[in-house]
Amino acid sequence: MRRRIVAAILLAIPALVWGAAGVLSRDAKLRAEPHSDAAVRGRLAAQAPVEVLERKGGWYHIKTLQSQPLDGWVRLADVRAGRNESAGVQGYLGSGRAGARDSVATTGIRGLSETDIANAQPNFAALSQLAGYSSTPADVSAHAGRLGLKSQAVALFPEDQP
Amino acid sequence: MSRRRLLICALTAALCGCASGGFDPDGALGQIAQAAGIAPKVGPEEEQKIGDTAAATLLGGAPLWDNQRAQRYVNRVGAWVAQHSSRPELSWRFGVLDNDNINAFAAPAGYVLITRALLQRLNNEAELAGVLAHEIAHVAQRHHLKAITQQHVTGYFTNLGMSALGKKYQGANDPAIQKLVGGAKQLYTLGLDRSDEYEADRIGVVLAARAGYDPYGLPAVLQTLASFKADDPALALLFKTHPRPADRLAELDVRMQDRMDAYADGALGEARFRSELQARPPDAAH
Repeated sequence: MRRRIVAAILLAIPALVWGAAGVLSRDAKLRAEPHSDAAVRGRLAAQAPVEVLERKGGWYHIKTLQSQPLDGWVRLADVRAGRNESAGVQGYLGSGRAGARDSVATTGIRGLSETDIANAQPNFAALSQLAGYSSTPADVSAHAGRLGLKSQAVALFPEDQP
Repeated sequence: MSRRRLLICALTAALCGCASGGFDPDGALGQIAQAAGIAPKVGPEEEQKIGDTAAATLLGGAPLWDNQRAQRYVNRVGAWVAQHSSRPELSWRFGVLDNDNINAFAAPAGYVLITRALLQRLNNEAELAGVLAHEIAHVAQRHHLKAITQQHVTGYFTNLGMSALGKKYQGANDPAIQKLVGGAKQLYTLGLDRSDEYEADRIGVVLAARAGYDPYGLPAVLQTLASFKADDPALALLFKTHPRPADRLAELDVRMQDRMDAYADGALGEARFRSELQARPPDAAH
């Protein structure tokens, strides 16, 4: 709870779908814990409106929006998120170019639309600019280490194994 | 059926022998290979040239975001994930394009570009890692090279001659390069095979897990994408070139539930993500 309050203070706009409405994309079992062998608290029908509270791994903590709301966990794919144009950190960051926000209604999308790609002339000079942003392997490892990232062996899904 | 299989084996053996630079896709062997549906392996120099040209084409459509800190951050995250791919030896290069379309692109030889609009809709480093991992998987699996050497995508490339790559590179006005540019544009506006997109999703979540991240970062991003209106212009190209986010999410979910929940305690990196991206672009004086 405290983490959500802190996040709300840091950001002018709420992150992702927390507290946002969605509906169930399919019939789903509502579980007591974010584990597939947790107790089933209820069986929910597709289209049931829900509020999404948090994500833990592949599970959403939801509350059903009914007279006696149920609280529990479903799979990510069980939920179809509602409209959420505030997703992400965009409100906090602002835009990279002046006037970037006002272009949609009048001039159409600015940036890499299909037409922009079709009209693009290659910019080879930008490749060396791009190269300038990369880091040494030591720096990359140190950066990972600062987040406590640890490499682990994980097998590909069976259909992708050679 | 068995005669065709014999032909394929013979051709594959012959092509593998010519893999590193001597292969002429315009020659008789190349034509037969195309007809038989085999994608001949492109050598490292050709791959670099194709990748350079494809990336330069995208960079011609949108400038790099003038935020050095964000660019370095995205590179560090991407390079770490790429170390866990099947092709860690490539010169992996990551960039953020400054524009309002929500999209990410990969190009052969190790280029990954994402748009600022997509970056700003992410919530943590695990989501960024997931997006980058999907693109890294495209490069590791040579999906773009496969598309380029398959006739149905590039009557363009094959008609013009992959052998043009063997000639001395003369810069952006080089007609051979212009032909490559045309092929790249076609590829980025048509998209890859949808099966390649699903494959990049599957391999991507594994790469993220190997790198120590919560592998549900990419599925969470797909949920964000699914929450947009289908006709939102910012997503027009993405939705045209990829399967529907809800379908991608369903495909991942059924596979991940048994295998990947063990890694779901992987790092999210929410604080670092917000901190690295909140820096304003440097002043001109600096």
